Amino acid sequence: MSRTKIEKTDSAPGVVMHYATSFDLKLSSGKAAPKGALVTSHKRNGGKTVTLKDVHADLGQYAPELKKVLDAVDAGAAKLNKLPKFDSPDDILAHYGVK
Amino acid sequence: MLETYLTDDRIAAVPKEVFTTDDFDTAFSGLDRADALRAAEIIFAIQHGKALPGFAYRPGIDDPNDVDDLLKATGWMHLHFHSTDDDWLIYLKQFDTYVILAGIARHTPHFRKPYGTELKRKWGTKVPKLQAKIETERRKRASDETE
Repeated sequence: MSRTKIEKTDSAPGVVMHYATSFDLKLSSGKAAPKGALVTSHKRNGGKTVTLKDVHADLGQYAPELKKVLDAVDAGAAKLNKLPKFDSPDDILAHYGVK
Repeated sequence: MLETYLTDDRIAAVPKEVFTTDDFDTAFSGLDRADALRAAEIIFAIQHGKALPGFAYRPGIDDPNDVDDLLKATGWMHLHFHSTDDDWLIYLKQFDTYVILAGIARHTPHFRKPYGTELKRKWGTKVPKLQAKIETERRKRASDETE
């Protein structure tokens, strides 16, 4: 199973964690992550490395949200298609090539 | 934690960022110019926090007995080009500060029960991934600004 390499910073700089689909978070040292750890934000450093900014309690409640984030990182292909702010509806038509 | 989608019947009249799936890149290609302009007016109104044109909503939107079961059950919102049962609809999810436009698709298949099955098949993976990406980038930007 492929795993995303996750580096936890801030409260414990440099600690490397891995995740499995079961959200069984483990430290690279082999110790289990604190039960109920929750990732609230992370930084992507390129490739499949993610730097976690905060780890809090209550993983169980938020595990699906964490999975969504990490799945997106794994996929690496979720383009951020943000439309520019247009000055008029006609500009939107032009953006989409409507003549 | 990711934002929860809204199930309000209308798009709030506050400026919202507009994100799209890659399917939306070609969404206008199936529309005639009149419908394309209506789609553009909808997007423009969302971006600028204006009330959407009246045609965007179904006629019974203010009738308490006319509930949008698809929206309430799944968060999938649909916008019209002609108020009535249009051939084409914009499908989207609304959040507090942004919307994700999934695509423009025909009306009927998406209202078959169980509600949302067809939409889930089409965009059930893409939209959550895009939402995760959006919110990750926002956190990164906020973090960078505080460092």
